[in-house]
Amino acid sequence: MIAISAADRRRRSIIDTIATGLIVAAGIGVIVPLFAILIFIFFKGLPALSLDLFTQNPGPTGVPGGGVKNAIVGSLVLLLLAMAMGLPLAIAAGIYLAEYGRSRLGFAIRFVVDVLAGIPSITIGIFVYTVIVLPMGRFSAFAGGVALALIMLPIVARVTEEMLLLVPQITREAAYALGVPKWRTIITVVVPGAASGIITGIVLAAARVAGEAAPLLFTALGNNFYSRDVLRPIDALPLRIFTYATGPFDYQHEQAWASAFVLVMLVLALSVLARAAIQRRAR
Amino acid sequence: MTSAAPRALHPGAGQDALAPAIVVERLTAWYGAHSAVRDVSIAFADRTVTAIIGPSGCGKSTLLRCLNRMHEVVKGARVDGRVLLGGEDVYGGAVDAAVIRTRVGMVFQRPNPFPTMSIWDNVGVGPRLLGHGGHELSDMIESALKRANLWEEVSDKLHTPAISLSGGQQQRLCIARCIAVQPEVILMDEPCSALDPASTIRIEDLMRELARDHAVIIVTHNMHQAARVSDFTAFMLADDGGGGVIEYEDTDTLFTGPKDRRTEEYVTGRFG
Amino acid sequence: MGHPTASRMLRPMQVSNTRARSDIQRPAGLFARVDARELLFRGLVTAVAIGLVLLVALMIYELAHEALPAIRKFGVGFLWSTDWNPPKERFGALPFIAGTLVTSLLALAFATAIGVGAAVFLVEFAPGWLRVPLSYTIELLAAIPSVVYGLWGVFVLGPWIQHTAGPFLLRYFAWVPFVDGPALGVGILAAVLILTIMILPTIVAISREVIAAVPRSQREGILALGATRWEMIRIAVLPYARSGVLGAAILGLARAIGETLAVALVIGNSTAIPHSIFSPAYTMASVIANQFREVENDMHRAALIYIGLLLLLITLLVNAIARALVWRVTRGQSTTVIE
Repeated sequence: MIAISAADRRRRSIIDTIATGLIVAAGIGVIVPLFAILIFIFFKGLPALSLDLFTQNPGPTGVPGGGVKNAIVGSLVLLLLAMAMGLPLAIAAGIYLAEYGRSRLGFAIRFVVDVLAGIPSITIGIFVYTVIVLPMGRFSAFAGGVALALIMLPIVARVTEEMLLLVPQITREAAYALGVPKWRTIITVVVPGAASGIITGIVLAAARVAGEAAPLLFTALGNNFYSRDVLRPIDALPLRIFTYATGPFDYQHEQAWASAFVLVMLVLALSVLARAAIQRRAR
Repeated sequence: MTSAAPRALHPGAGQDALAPAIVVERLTAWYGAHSAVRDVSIAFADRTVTAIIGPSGCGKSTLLRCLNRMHEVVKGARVDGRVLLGGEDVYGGAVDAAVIRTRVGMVFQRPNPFPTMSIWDNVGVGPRLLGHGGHELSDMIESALKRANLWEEVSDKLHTPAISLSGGQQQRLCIARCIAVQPEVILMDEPCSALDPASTIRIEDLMRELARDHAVIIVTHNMHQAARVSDFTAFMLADDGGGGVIEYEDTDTLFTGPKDRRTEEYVTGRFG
Repeated sequence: MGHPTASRMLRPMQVSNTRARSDIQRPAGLFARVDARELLFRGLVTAVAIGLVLLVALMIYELAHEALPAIRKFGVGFLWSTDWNPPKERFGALPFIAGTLVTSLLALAFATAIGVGAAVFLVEFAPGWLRVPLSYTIELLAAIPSVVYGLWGVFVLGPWIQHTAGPFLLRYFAWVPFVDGPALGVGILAAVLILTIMILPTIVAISREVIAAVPRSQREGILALGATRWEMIRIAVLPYARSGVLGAAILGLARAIGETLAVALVIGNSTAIPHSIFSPAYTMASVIANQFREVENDMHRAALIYIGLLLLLITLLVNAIARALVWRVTRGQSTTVIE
């Protein structure tokens, strides 16, 4: 038997303890930033909340008061545009990947979709600027919607694929055995079967997109005035936060915190709901 | 189910007591609330091959894993009783499980070489952990591979990945890895069940060779293997209360003239 | 002599043609006509999917097209020139490339060290009841929008660096290269810290999956040789999981490279090459965000789009490598991290 020295054992034991300590520190410490951020948003944003924030538009620059109603409405408009343009395409792509894409070509397309998901949102903003804003000659909510749709696309496509793949093959085969053609099976049996999962994925993607401002910088541009016009520049909550964060006035900072509070609460609420729905289904 | 005598069972009656390598005293082992092994006492002789046989679920693997304190690696598992290695209880208060495992080694059912390491590095893991290096380490690795009857097949590719070996070779590699730390006892949990017949025979031969220097304890569901390979055999059965040793004899006696009716039924194939 | 007439010769049953269900519609022949609608549907979804691939190609094309004036004028030298003079139409991207590299790589180093540690904690140490809530909380970090990180960075992190961390570092660590100069609240350090926090969830989530996937037999194999728990992690678990963890790290890197607004708010916006961790700087993404709306001339815009093109190509490459690595480990199952 090989001799084991007690000193050696002790050394290895100490190393084990130190390593354990560091790992536990990393494990717990990793959520410290989260709490740091949430606490500040809470303590700086909550007091600055007021009814005016939601019901007033921004006043003239430099004059305290006013609100961010135009930004809230703008965010909604942009989100609706993005979903209207992006969801049908994303779901179609997801259907392709799940039902027809189990081949070499499908593999390549899936790879590209994943890579598309990683493109920085500002690059997408420049792209939409060159293909929509320049030809149109103007910034618009439409352009902003297109940019956001492009961000949503790969996320929703992959989630759709995943959810469709969860529908058991025997369900499809039951339909085939009755003579239902494949395309009809997909539309009437498979997609409805995956619907709740797909909706959850859409909610998560919407939450993500609602917080994006970079792609809007040169597409929707932002607007100090209230607008619902699809063909005019439009404001959005994250854009307004960005503008106010760099502004010189105190009221702007306060409203930035308040808006951040609203935005984060919204995004967190949507994420929590979506995750809860996933958990429930996983049981 | 309690064993017949409260003292540790020694194999056979009228046998000269061979020096015991590891002695189990009133061992009970639980997974959560379920006891897999109940009040087992048995002494395993040194420099022999002992086989533990019995139907699925009789607790033989659990008993084996208690000998090198691997049983407790599973969440919710616990143990009561004593396991004496060289006279000291491995479950004693100040005992470090990791030290025990360098004295009681284990070979698993499926070969599990470390895939990111070469053949050489795999065998060297144990000695390296114990602080050996340089020439001494090389000698230990070479010697282990030779004793595992693998040296000739791999001596020209020692630094190639371990997973490039065939199944049978991988298992011999795992045996080499185990004996590189020179344990007193070698535990083998159905070591051939994932291998083809030719590899199985080679490993069975290896077991007999290893028994010259170690106590080899194997769990097997293959009675013919037990009959071929082992000097002593223990037969286990479980009831609701857990598994226990029904009979423990030298192998010839157990298979040709078992004393317990249940042993006879098992070895003649009437059940299990 | 006749055939043996089996009195029990089986006769085929008389099949009646009047079936009860004669109202069912069936196609006329045995083989249906090729269903045009099936082809149409399939063609449609395939076209959309292929369209996505074309979209990426179009992106590269369009950006290259718009950046052409700058590409023609400055060529590849654009990448290592430090000239940035919009009125004189002289442009060079080195400060921004340097800024991006420094902030992303540093953030990657920190986030990987902490993130892999946290992943190991989750898999090997955390008690059952803590696992799900903790993973969940880490994922919540990913849901916070970039602007909000930026806002927090400007008003909380910045002052903290300026008044607390900065002086501390300057007092005890001034001997370290690049720890120098007045401790401003904006600059490289602020950007690195924010980026680290932002890419942590990615790294933790994927690392956790690959570490949990290491088979039990590997862990037991090394424990049986007398290893301590840390030795088990170091020798059997981490090497086994290494390509997956690497993929996670590279994904995190891609995210850090493309991160725009949070960085834009805390990086200080200087076109000089940073010389210390407290220097203000620029990254490729943040310079575009800050300057695009106030371009002084067409060449300025083309230069910025040139930078955008570079950014696109770099992130495409890094993402492709990362996805390939993660795929190899998880065998194509989805690790879609919705952030």
